[in-house]
Amino acid sequence: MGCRIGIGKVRYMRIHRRKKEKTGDPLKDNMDLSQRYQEVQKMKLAPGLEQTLQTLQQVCGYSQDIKIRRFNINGQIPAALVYLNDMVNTLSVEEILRVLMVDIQRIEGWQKDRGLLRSAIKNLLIINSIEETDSIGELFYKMTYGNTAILVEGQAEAFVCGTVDIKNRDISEPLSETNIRGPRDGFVESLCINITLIRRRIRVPHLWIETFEIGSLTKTKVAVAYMKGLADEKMLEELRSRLRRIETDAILESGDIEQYIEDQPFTLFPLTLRTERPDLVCSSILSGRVAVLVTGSPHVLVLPADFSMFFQASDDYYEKPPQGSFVRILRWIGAIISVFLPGFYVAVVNFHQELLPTTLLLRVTASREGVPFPVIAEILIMEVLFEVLREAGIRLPVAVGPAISIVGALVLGEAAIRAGIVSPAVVIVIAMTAIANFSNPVFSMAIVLRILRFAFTILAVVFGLFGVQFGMLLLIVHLCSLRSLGIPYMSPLAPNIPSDMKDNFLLAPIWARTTRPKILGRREPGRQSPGQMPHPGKHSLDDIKGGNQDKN
Amino acid sequence: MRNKTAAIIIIITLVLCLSGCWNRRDPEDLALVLATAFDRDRETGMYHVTTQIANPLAMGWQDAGQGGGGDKKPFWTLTASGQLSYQAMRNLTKGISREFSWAHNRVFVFSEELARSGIYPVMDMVERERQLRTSGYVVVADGDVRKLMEAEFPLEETGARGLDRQIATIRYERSLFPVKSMNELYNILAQPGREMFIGRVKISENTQQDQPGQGTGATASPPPAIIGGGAVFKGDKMVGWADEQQTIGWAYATGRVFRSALYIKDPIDDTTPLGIGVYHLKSKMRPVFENGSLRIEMDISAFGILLDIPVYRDLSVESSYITSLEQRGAQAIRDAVHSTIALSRELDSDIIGFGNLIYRKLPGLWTQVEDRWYEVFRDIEIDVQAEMNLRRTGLVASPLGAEKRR
Amino acid sequence: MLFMMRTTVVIALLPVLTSADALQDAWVSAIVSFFGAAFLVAMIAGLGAKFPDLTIVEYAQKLIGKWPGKAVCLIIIWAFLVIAATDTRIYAEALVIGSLTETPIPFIIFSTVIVGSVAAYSGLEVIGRAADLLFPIFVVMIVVSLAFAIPDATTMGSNLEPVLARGIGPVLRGSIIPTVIIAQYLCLTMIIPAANQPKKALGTALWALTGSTMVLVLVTLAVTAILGPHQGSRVVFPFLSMVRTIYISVFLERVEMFALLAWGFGIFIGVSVSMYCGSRALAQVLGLDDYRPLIGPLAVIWGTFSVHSYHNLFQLRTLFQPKIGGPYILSLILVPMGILWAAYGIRRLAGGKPDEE
Repeated sequence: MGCRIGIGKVRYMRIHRRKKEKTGDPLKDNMDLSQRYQEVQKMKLAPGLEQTLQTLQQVCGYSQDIKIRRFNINGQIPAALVYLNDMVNTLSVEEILRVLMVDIQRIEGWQKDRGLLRSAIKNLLIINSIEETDSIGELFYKMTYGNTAILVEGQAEAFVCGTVDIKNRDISEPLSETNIRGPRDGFVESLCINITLIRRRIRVPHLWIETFEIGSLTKTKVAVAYMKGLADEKMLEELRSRLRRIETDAILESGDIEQYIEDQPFTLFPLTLRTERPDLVCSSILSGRVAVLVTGSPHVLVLPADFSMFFQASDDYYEKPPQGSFVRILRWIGAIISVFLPGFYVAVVNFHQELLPTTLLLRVTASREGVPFPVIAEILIMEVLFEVLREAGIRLPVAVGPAISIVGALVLGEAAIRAGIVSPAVVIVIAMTAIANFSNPVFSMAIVLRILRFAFTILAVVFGLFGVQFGMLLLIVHLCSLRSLGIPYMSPLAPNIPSDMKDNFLLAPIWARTTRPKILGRREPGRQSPGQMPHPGKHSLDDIKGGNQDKN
Repeated sequence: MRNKTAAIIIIITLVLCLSGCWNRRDPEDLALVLATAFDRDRETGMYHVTTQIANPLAMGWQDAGQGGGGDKKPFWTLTASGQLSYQAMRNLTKGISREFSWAHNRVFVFSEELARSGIYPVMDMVERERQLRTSGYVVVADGDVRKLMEAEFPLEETGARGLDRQIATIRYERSLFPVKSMNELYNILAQPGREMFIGRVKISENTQQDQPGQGTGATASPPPAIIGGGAVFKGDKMVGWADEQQTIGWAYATGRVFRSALYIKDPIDDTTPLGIGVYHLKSKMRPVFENGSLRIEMDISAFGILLDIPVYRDLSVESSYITSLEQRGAQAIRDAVHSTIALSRELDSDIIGFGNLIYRKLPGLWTQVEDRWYEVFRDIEIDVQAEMNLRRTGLVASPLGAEKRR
Repeated sequence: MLFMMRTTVVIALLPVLTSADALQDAWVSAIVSFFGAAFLVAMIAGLGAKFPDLTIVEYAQKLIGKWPGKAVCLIIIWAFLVIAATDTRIYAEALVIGSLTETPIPFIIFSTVIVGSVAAYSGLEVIGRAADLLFPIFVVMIVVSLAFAIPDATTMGSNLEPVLARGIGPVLRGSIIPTVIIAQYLCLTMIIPAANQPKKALGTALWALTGSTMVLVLVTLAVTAILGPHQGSRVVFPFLSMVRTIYISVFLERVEMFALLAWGFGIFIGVSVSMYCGSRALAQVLGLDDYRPLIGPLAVIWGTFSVHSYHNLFQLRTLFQPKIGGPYILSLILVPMGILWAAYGIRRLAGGKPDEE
């Protein structure tokens, strides 16, 4: 039945490059990133304007943020301005257009002498920098800095004008994903700005951005960003077909899209990673994942997502590996506590009293004396109360929020204990659970853990620890059966891929993470050359000191 | 299809959940038994079970506002009797408002009467009952067990905890507690050629029962229980007491010494007592069967540390004093072991397990002598070799010699 | 192949936790059983390797004809049924004895069956991934329970003597049960075609067997040393009783609950694989395309069988007596595999290439 165990058709790590196929079009769909990169680096501008524009668009996969303004210089020679949308200063671009369309007629004979045209452009444009280039790769690289290229018919060089927009847009740090270390910019509601944020980090034309228009009334633009040659083509095709399948009147947020393109609709678990952080999106794109950006939403979807991604924050990568690993393990512990602790407490206190040390059990018993509810009722009441409190805290205005938490947590908790309505042990358990839950960096996963907690509490009250075990087994089976864009959700844990574990519970040093995740198809396995572990050179400081001492 | 199946599964699970909760107990509905004592009346053959039950309300961690009774004892003792030990245990429930939980029982106490009439009925019950842990300590009480169960240990909250800690302490500090746990007893009973040897707890008669809880530690009251020595069993019946010398001899012979102390006479004047601490003791036994006669060789080696030396002595390497101390220490070890063997022969109970040794090493011979083992045991030659190495002299290298000024 | 390895180790470890015989020489029995078991595994997996793309139902029909082949496969399906039901029952008994004394046993059994059938419904790949996840937990829990036992075990090493005092007879008798429990490996006949490298299945199975034998030896050593040989053969669940004796410190006193949980994980894998194999084999015998519709009815049969086939613990223990369980389980392996090997051999001798028909 063709059931593939493990990751099935994993392509073996290719050390030797595929042989180049010699055909007319140098860029093939099946070319991997490094081949593409080399091809593009070799490409030169063609004298024909249309041909150049064609090549340029091919190289970037007709990404929608590439703007081409065709015009005729002084109504005579066809030319085009090429720039990246929203990176340039519109006034500067208009200035260029005005000069080339109108002012150029002041120079006599420019139509005949190309040298005159060049000097005319250089002298007439009031632009801080004008450079020339004849390479497609370099041209694109400069465009990503906000430069505008002038292409002229019959000329194999482009003039690159500095039209960078230095306006500081109000891109602020995402509130829901705060970091200690790392960039502080976050996505905003504008699709163009969001694409710009990605382009500013990945400055090659191989970052392709495909645009879809979804929603019969809202006409929402949905952009799919990926590295051509890195992302799996089948995966992309699957995603495109899922996007095309959507027939609805309105898409208002990326959450709407998310529900349409999930692999398994009946699951609590988020199958796409939602983030506001451009650095996270870029690192995902660079490892072969795909980002889906939606107009009007600062939340970008990253697909395929695996379970462990929800326990990683981008800080981890910016810290040293031991620190990163430490916080990750803490997060996993936090997740386990936040799911299992109330259930475990109920199971142990109600069923397996022998598991507790005698003194602890006596303490718990003493604290429970006189409490009118059974343990389970106490736990459920406090959990619900806490969830309500938390929800209230989110919705309230910032100024009132802390007041609510003080009233809720301190006054209510303390009063309930004093009145003997709930036992202090339960309050401790609930508080620990809640704090542990906050350690999860991704909201969409944290809320799943909160819901699961109730299920486990109820299972625990039925069968004790064995109920918890049954629940855990069901949960594991469910998690293992999930897929995100065709990729097993629990990878690289199950199927177990040792080479992908370098960036999971523990974080290997960056020079040791030489390969991209195998599970994502691994079109381009190596991301850096191995053996970059830093080491002191032969002439270390000690030698120098030693030398000095000899002299003295 | 898939969704329907999922729905069915969820429904079944919910039904299971709703009908579940068979074993659920809230902890405050439980009476936690901390220690259990078994007694038997010689004449009537009735078993008496005395339990010590924790009273969490009186343990003094409560807020003042909760109104926990400060005058109450933190534990309660309850006694019931029955024709069988389990029956007696079940009869306990007649007198208590909560359900018993035995899982936290750490100490089993047998009274001397019960021990002399056979403890196996109780052991069988303990093994069968799932809540009772067989890893608990076992002692035989020399005195009234009920008094022991009611005794208050000044430093501890509950008597059971006091007893538990006291046993643990004596095991590590003095090695005066022979068989550790119930488990080991089953193990010994199941093995051929070995008898049980259970620790003894001496109950002081004048434990103040009428004295209220608060005042105990303040006055120089006698300790509620003293642990040391042991009860020698044959089969499941106790046949006699062993004194401390014999108990420590057992520990030396079986190599179960964490720390121990020996007292010897000073080699020079032969009157001054000296104390030597014993540690790192190793014991090896080997049966030798030659020319139709059986001999058992026992090699004991130990490290010593000089503890009490009230007179001035030259402790330098040159003097042979250390060597003679070592010889005397080894002799003391030998004496202790011989006293144990003598007791063992006198009571016909092979507590060190020489028979088991032969069963293990010479199984062929064992089948021949198994039936008349105690006849053989009485005449068998047991060659005890002991060796002591004095390693340290405490924090001072040599005595000050203050007594010479007198 | 990883998956196979892990699952089979897990499955093979299960019986370890339930049986220990032959008194102080039980560990010798464990080693002896390795050879018998290796032979049986070779028998089971060897034929599968000859037909890397076919399940036993398919190649049995090829080898001895349609109807006889189906008949033989019914024996195998019966074996799956017995294995899964017995595993479930043993675990449920352990739970009831050890912890949930008042819970009716059918509830525990049916909960286990439900979890197992959900996994079987999700397919082999999901079971494999779940095994990947659970395997480390399982191993860690068993290693931890063994590690805690070591301090006690070393002081009571004398329980292992005398070695082979009663001759080799009891040892051989004691090795029967650990050998025949290898019937669990029958699931290989269904899994092999789904594996990445079916040809290597035999090697992997043997490695798994080696690993599980090592654990078996360690467990029997620990159980015998701690509980004593007589005690070890007397108690109902030796491994559990051993773990119960552990007392390291106040916090690590009662760890048997975790041993039980680990065991539960193992049972889950075993039961779900058996269920998957059973329902798939039955589907193939009946000529159905999809095995999934069969899981529901089969699960009910399974649970009922598990509840009703053993009235009490004594009957369950009887099954693991060498005299009764040995021939019974052995015949479940030997009869079908023997017939198929014979057929294979005859066809081979007759000049045909049976695997290429």
